[in-house]
Amino acid sequence: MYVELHCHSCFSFREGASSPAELVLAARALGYEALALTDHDNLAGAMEFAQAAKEWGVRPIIGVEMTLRPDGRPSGRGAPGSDGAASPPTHLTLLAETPRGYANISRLLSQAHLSSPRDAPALDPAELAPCAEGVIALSGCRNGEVPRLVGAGDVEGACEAAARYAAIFGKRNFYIELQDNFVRGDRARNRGLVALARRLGLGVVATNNVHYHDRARHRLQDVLVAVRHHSTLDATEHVRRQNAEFSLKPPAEMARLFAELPEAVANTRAIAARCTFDLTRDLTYRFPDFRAPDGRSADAFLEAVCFDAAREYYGRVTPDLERRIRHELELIRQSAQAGFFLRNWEIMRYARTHGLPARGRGSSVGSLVCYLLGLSGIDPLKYNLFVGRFLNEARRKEDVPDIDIDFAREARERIFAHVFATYGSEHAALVANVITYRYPMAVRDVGKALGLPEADIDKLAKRMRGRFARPLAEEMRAMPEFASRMEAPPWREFVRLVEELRGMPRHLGQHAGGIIISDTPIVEQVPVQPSAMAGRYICQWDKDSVADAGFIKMDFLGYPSLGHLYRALALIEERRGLRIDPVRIPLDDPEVYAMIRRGDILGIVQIQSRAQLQAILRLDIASIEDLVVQVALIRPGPIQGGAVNPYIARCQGREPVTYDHPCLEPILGETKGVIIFQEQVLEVAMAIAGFTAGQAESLRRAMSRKRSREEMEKLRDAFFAGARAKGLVDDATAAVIFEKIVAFAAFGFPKAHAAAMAETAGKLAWVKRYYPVEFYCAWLNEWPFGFYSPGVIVNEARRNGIEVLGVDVNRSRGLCVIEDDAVRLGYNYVRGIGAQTRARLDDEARHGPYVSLWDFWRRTRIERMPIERLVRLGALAFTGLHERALLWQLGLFYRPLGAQLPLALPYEADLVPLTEMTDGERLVTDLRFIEGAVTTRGHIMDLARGALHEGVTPSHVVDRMADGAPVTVAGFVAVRQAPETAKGFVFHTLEDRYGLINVITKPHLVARYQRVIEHAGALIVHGHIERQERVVNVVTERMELLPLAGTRHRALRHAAHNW
Amino acid sequence: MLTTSGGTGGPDTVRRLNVPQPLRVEAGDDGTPRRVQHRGQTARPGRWRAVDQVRERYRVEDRWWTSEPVAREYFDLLLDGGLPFAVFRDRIDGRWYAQRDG
Repeated sequence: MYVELHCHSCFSFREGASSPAELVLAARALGYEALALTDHDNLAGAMEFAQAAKEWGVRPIIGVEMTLRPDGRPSGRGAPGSDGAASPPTHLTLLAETPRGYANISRLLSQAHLSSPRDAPALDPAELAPCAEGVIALSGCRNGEVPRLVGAGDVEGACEAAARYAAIFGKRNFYIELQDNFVRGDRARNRGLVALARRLGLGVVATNNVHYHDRARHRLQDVLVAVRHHSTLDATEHVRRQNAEFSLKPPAEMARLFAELPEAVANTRAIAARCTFDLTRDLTYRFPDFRAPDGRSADAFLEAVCFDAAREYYGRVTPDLERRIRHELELIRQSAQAGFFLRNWEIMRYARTHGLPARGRGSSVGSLVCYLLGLSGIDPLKYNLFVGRFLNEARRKEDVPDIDIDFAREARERIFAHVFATYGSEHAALVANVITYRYPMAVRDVGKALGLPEADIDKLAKRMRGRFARPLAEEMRAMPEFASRMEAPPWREFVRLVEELRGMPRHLGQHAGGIIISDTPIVEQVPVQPSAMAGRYICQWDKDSVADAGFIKMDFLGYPSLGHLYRALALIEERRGLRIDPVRIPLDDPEVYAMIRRGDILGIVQIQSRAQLQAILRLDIASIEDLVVQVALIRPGPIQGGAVNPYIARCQGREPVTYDHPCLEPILGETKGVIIFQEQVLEVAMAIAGFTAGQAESLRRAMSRKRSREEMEKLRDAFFAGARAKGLVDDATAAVIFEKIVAFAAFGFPKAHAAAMAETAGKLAWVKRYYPVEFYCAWLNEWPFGFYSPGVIVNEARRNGIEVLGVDVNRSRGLCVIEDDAVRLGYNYVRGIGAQTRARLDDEARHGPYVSLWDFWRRTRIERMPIERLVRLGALAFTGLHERALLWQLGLFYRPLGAQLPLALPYEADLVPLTEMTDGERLVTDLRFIEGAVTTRGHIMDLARGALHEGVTPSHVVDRMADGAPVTVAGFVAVRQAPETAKGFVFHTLEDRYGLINVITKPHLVARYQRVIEHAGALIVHGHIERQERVVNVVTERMELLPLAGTRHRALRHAAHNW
Repeated sequence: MLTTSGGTGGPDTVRRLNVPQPLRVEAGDDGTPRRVQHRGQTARPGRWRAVDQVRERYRVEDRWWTSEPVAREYFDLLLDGGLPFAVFRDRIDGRWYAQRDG
């Protein structure tokens, strides 16, 4: 029977209209024994395809449809009519017969990408010959060189080209490809191709050039082609496929189609049988060995490093300590991963010796070896962390533990540079991130292709961009201008196509921090392509494919709060000459926990969100252990798993601690019977369904991915079968437990990771408690990051008694600085002043204070625009002149050439009387020209003074009000959130002059006030108080925009949030 | 399989150029025409003529986003006696048409 050897998935970007999984499932349903994936110029979908195919019992064949550069063709011969003119690129189908063949295809693809402009990869055909071994080539689609020449009637040219390919790949490895998609000309061309094959003694093979798994998808395929050509369906008739015959067809139908040429069908099977390369098994990846300086084995060297460190950290190696170290070392030895640990150790040493803030994250923090290697700052003995989730006996040998390291932002860039410098681009590559279609872009692309009115599309795209958008059809039904049109073409098709397109890959981007290194050349494992940064390459696989391939990924993530912490410590040292070792910051200071319990947590990473604060106010956090639970508790996993309220109630003794089954008590005892840590999920699955550690881990991994309904069903079946076999719980209880696991698994923290996060939070809290000026100053200089805009942080600093002063050219520097016990804003907060100007200003400041505007203008020689802004912001107030007077004066310096030479004259004499700016004008100027809604000359709420009346309750009074009391509040929108876990609720944090107010809006009101919610920079909310102990929320009944004087809501939103 | 075209234009029906003209076709199990009722230049029902050869068979599916979608299977035929003749089956209404007069 027939095997499909030419098949595109959606990873043939803007061409293929089905996912690899859809193709595999269709192939299985149609009874295919094997299926090849041949995407255009990449293997981005290959691993996903191979994994899905193996899973569903279809044998995967890996290939590619390679674009060949026409200029590589020997000159002098071309299709008739194309003499001299640049001929278009051609296509060639390549299949990996052997591992060598796969390596060659990967190498060829890398060459194509590295030698071509972005988004137009094409291979110089001269590269084919040295990389032909193990590759089976088919002559390609209509755009293959041979078929195209045949189609154009150039039989001699076609024979010559075919003979050339046959010589490159070998006669039995080059087949003439026959496609009959019921396109006019297919049959005639096939007759010509068969004749050519006979003449040259080449084999023929049938393929269907599959572009979608099901014929109904041909519409999406048409749309994608139009999108690729930046055009409409109407205008792309000549480039679109003419019909819907490019689907994966039943093998029998293909056999019927080629009934007159049975060998073309037989050869599909023969070729498939020859392609024994198995991507899930045959990669030659090897992590670089570690060669110890003294020639010792990596294992011996690792052991020595660990015991040296243990003596240093603990003073003495007790038998207990030694046992635990040896246990971990043995696990590492068994899986031959000493080299991996030592490579990471090297990177951390590099970071430390170069002063780059870094610390481990993730489950590796539970490992004592990682602690001893400096990969984590957490002593697992002290925190009672176990290594099981990170290293265990059941872990498959090729399963590599994750060691993730957080770096401050700049530090991370330097680490990447260091790794590429160390390993070279042949052996290191960044992990890709598949950028997928979301609603707004899908709406725009489909709308444009269908030729729908631009204004309509723009309106819909903007609507769907909103974070509160419902599914497209629902949104359209709610819009009168669309509701009536939805049932007729083209809008009916529009809705369906947008939904189909959503989630499909658009292009490959770069993963946040993943990097792979390989002993064998990476380009033979997976194709690489240039990244946005010169000298760095991205492999074509995302993190899931990389993990499936068994590649060792090192994750270097950016964690700005480390920068915040280290900046603060540097400021403390600079100002007080006090050097604080971050490792030695105490985590058991009661004063620090008292501050946290008061809810004074703004700016402290991991515990500063609205949801965190509300939990903190209800829990009695008194130790780092409590903090570890706290950071893990407010995560989508525990929230969706329904753990938060029971946990709080049980801590408060309002609810008894119970377990779904007594066997869960040892597992969930420390968290009062609820699942909070990821490790607990694994242990619960083991206890209830009898899973092994390895099975439980694969359950967790499977659930942390985008997963299909089918895969989920499989896991559920396995869980229930296990639970029945174990016989501890009935099906209903098993179902309850399974739902908790599913809800949790994707988004929970391992305890070890929570410990690492809590540690950083605890240290920052300590800094905030004892060195608040440094804390705020460092925060401002590390921004942008985190949860709040600078304006909110600055106002909080003021409420805590720390003044944040405006920009002053005689006192400000490039970054914010500490001045006595206040923070002086730096030029980094003035919009429109770039790094160069900042450096210029810092430079000139060394030559002493400026004495006048003239002096400043003459000495700094910066552009007029930044000078004007500084003037407007009051940065030259020392002159004693107000802003308008200074601007007028500045204008005189720019008098037309020749009018008068600029001289240091007493300009005051020239002054005309100008009215001084009002307070309101100054405040609006701050909002315009200072980043992040920071104001130094008034509070945003001053703009609303006229609109505020006695009925508005200020935040500090709200905090004392009783449950159920009616209330009206007003404030600037400090934070607006609609987390997915909140099921349609919207949360606002409003800020008034006295503090923050939390507002909750229920889903039906969110729908009613959608426009207000989306547009408001400041709000008036009428509602009532909802109080739970110390937690106070205002529940919305009505809301309206807070009228502002002198500025617009849009400007305010933009200043604060860039919405 | 025998499909009729439904109503044929009467003598006073004005036929626009290149508007598909319905006709009767007898097709085999595989959907290929065996005989067509060829009308020549007249408006009267023509006589049945055997299909000698199917030179090309192709499908077009287009304009699905409009209210006038197109889904047709075309056959370039050689009729008995060597006359070239093109017909298509409309896959939406199931009827046969000749693309051109003659």
